[in-house]
Amino acid sequence: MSFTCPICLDDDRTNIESIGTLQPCNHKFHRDCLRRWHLYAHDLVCPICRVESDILLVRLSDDQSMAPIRVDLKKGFDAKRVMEYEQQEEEFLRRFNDALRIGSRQERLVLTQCNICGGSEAQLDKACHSCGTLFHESCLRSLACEVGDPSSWQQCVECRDPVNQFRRSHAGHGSGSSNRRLQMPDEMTRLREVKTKIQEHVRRVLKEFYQDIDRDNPRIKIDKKHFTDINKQVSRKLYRISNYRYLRGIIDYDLEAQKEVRLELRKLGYIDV
Amino acid sequence: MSRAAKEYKTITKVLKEGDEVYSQLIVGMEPKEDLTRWEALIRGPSGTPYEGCNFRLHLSLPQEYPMSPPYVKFEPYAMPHANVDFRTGEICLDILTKQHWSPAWDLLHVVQAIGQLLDEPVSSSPLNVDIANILKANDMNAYYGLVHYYIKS
Repeated sequence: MSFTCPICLDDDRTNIESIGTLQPCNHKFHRDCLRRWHLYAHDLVCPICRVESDILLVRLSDDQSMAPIRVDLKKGFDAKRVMEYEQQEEEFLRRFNDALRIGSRQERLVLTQCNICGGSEAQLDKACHSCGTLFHESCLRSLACEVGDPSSWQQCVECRDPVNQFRRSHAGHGSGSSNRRLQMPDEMTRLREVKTKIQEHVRRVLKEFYQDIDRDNPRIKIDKKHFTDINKQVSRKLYRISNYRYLRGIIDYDLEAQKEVRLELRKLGYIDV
Repeated sequence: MSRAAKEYKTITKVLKEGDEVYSQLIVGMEPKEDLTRWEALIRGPSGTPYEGCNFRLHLSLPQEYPMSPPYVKFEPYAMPHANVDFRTGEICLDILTKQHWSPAWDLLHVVQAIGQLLDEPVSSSPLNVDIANILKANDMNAYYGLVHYYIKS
């Protein structure tokens, strides 16, 4: 099959899964190139004909009898939403949980990120069908090792249900997911609470570095950008270590946060920490 | 291979083999130092006051190219045109703005669009008000005269 992506002009990545067809205009691009463009352009307009698109079709195999997956661009890849998502923790949560939607007749797949590393590159190969969360298998495995329970990698980080193979094997699946989804608000509130609690620790530690508490003997000054970056990095790390639970008696969050903050600071080139 | 390298390959091929659309317009086009800076020499289109003269274009590719449009300028003090700032060579052309650019276009498209702009100046969005006013008044003699005066000097 020969295909040249109009965006990167590359013709050697001919893997059928990498190609997406915009609807309604039927123009084809590499999925990644197109998504980068949507993010860049803040709209969902086709680069070739400028028709606003709502659906991206992705084929998983050359077999024409198999229906392509319909990616709802407006839901899953509203470029603006992705931008906000970078900044808003709440949005962050919602998108994870929106990751996989199973409609009544046709599966609706929404492109999104791995719940653990946040990356959307490489293939998201595991999904939890109960709460609709996507993962990289590699991330699940390394997380399980990190928390000292390697055998737990097959559990969803959010709801502990077993994760399934993503993409190919979920055809025919769909029953039983709707009532599960009703429970999601509670789950989300719980997660948000966990995140807030953990972030409090991180902020407290970071503030000591950020503000001159003792004017005569100032500690190093961090600029604001670094403050937020480190806050994000460290908090995410802590969510992961504690498996998205707030485990106060088991984990000394202040100590862990201090360690991680120091590490991040050194990475950014601050000395004397 | 990067996108710029692909374009380099196509452009060299097009210019070497000759192409109906582009060989009319483009005298030469090549990268300077690396593939992020290009220079193009274009022929003034026939039937315009620019006929018989060549004009140099400087193109530079931002890091995000092709997500962002290339920066394109004429040589300073060389292009008297309603949509070109004479002092800087800056060009007012919608496809070179972030809102109108599309990653499906390449450098050849850009040069072609500029060739078209020479043919059809848009007096409603001028960077050179003198020329735009003459065009609005539809005074072709003055238009040709002024453009020639600038090109000659």
